[in-house]
Amino acid sequence: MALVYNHLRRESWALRGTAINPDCIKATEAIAENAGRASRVLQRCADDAGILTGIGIGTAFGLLVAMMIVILAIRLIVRLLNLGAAPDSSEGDPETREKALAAVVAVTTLLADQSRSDEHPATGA
Amino acid sequence: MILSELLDFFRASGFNNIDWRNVIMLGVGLGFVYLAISRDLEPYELLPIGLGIIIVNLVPFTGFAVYDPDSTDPQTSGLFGVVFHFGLSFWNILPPVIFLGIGAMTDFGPVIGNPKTLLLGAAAQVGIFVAFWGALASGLFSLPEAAAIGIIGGADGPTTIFLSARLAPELLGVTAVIAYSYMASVAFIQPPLMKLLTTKHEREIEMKPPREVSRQEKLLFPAIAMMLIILVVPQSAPLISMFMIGNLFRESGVVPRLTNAASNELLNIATIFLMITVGTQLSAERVFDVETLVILGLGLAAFSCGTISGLVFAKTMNLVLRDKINPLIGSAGVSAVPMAARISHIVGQEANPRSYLLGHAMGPNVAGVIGSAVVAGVFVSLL
Repeated sequence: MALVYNHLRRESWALRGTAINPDCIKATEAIAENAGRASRVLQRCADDAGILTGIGIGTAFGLLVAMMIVILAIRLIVRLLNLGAAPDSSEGDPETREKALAAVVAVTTLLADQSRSDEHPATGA
Repeated sequence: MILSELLDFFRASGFNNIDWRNVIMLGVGLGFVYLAISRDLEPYELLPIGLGIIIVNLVPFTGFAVYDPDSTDPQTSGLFGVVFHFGLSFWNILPPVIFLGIGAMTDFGPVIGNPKTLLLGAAAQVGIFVAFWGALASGLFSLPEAAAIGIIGGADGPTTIFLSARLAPELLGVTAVIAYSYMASVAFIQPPLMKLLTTKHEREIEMKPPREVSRQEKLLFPAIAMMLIILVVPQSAPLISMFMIGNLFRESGVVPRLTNAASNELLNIATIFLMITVGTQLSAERVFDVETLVILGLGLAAFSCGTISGLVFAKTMNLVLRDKINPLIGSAGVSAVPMAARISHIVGQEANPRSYLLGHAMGPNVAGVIGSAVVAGVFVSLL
């Protein structure tokens, strides 16, 4: 569709050049017709792009919000079924939290070191 | 007699068949090789891409990157022409294979432990649509081409290649190289924006360690997310399903050999063919036009807007959150795994050495991969 628009736009610009001559009535009519068509095509192109943008952003947000809900639901179900025995480190006693913090610090430092080495290449995503 | 043969030999050599544009592209290829080797910038991508650029511009007439299905003569198609046609353009095999490997390397723990970071991955997709509209406004590109250019803002190489091959194969080499080049440049593009849009106080925010995530959660999440996404956007299935399958290999813990194969051998083989092939698509005659320069500018705008929207969204979330998040992790929503997360961590540590953001930033980083694959699926569905 945009290709058609581009073609029409080029065509109308070309005809616009010939329309400077007041005797070129046919050319003027053609320009008007083409300009009208180009305008309609342009409008449709913008409409399509707007719809794409709305659906694209809406779907990305909607699905990621849905996944948030899925995560919360999984957590709830796992707790209810007593499958997830892992305690929430943020709710533990201060000593447990300190240990968790120390573990995170150690792991992130290790990860940062490893990521600089050749063992774990960037994924490119 | 000897002189004429010498002349024929010279005419058949590369020296007689390259022009100034090829020389410039050779410089670009050598630049990529330099950045990969000396600066350690995305070496797994930039080194093979750079070498691909060099070989296709060194001897442009060899047909190394040509695939000619109509020819009845043998030996008319080159290795990377065949790989491009069957691996990317006609069948689109390599990007899903790479997603399998990425899935096998991904830990969803940070996302599951702090699910609100998923929203940051969605917010950073704004960059895709900025570039999309910019491409349309230029009047140089059709809707499918604009979509292929916009997806550069997702900062996700395989997704860019996947979408370009589907919607605008003629732009594939350019969009892929620009995407990977900007991904390699996140260390230069993002920090100034991060510092500009956040206060020192915000950058110093220390986040609580993410909660420990159970194995059951890590198993259930990719399985349910895969089904949900594929049901909503079936066209994203080639990427999302492979990503989640790779992750389920990893989290199941029962197929370590498959996990290792997907994240090492398979990923490495696919990377070799994909990256060199992308490089060989950058012949001088394809690159030197106005469109390529416009795409270069739009790619930068897309990256910047994705970074900005992630940061601003994180700041906005802080208005309503009781436990504040460090807005620096918002910029990691532009995918570019794991470089963007690493940049969030480094900039955060500059402000507060006690702040460890790497684990937190992996949440929006992984969400960004999913978000850009979803947007790519939407584009394929509607165009």
